[in-house]
Amino acid sequence: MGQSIKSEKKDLLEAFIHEVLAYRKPMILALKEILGDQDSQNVMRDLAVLEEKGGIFLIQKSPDNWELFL
Amino acid sequence: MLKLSSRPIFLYWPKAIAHKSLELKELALPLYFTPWVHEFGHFLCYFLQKYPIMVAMNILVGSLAQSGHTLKNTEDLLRLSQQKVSPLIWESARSLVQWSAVNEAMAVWWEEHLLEAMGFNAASYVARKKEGNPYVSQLELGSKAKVIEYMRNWYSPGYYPEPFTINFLDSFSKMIIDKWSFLGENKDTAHF
Repeated sequence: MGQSIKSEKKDLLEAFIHEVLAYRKPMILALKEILGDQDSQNVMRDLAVLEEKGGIFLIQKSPDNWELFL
Repeated sequence: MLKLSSRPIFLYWPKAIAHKSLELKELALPLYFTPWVHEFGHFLCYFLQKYPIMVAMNILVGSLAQSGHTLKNTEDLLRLSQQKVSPLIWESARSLVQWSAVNEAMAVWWEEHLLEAMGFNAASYVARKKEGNPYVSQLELGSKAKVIEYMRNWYSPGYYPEPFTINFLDSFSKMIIDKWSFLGENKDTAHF
């Protein structure tokens, strides 16, 4: 039972990470359209730093290896 | 001069991810990305604001907690209005509820505009959020440039008629808000 819940949670988080990352490029383009080049670049730079530090959701361990931080 | 250190926090956890994705099942919007964009909208506001609205809200939360009051929604504010509390407590509570709603409306604005710029139709999804928060509709009245200007300068006393709010913001804007040093790098707020 416990193992099953753990597995469901893992599947959910994997689906979440997959979808958030899949939309990242179009989201950056949308952000540029609304906020302009300079601010959107700064936002994404700050987001990347936070993600590296595990400050939000995702920690990038390597270019293809992301882990969720909760 | 008083210096406050802050950091942005995205409140999101597996149960919330599951709950939000269920709400979105009947809509043609991404199940997981859509609520993430809302949280990202809060981050965008934190980024844009030299004086983050969330910091002001937390000051009010702390002040109210010291006097034994906690507020989570407008029902709590209504309950407080029926009690005999000092004008300071009442005004703090009123400002907290107002800015909580404004803060949410700003994130909803980003959610709607980012999703639409990406080609999604978020109108019916956002319509539900308008029902519970009048500031969502109010932000929609302005141009994108005007709304972003308001997000940056929400603490300008010119936006508010109430003397308490003006006094609070006058003191608040004299503080130094350190938004980034928790990252432990040479990152500062130079781009503001």
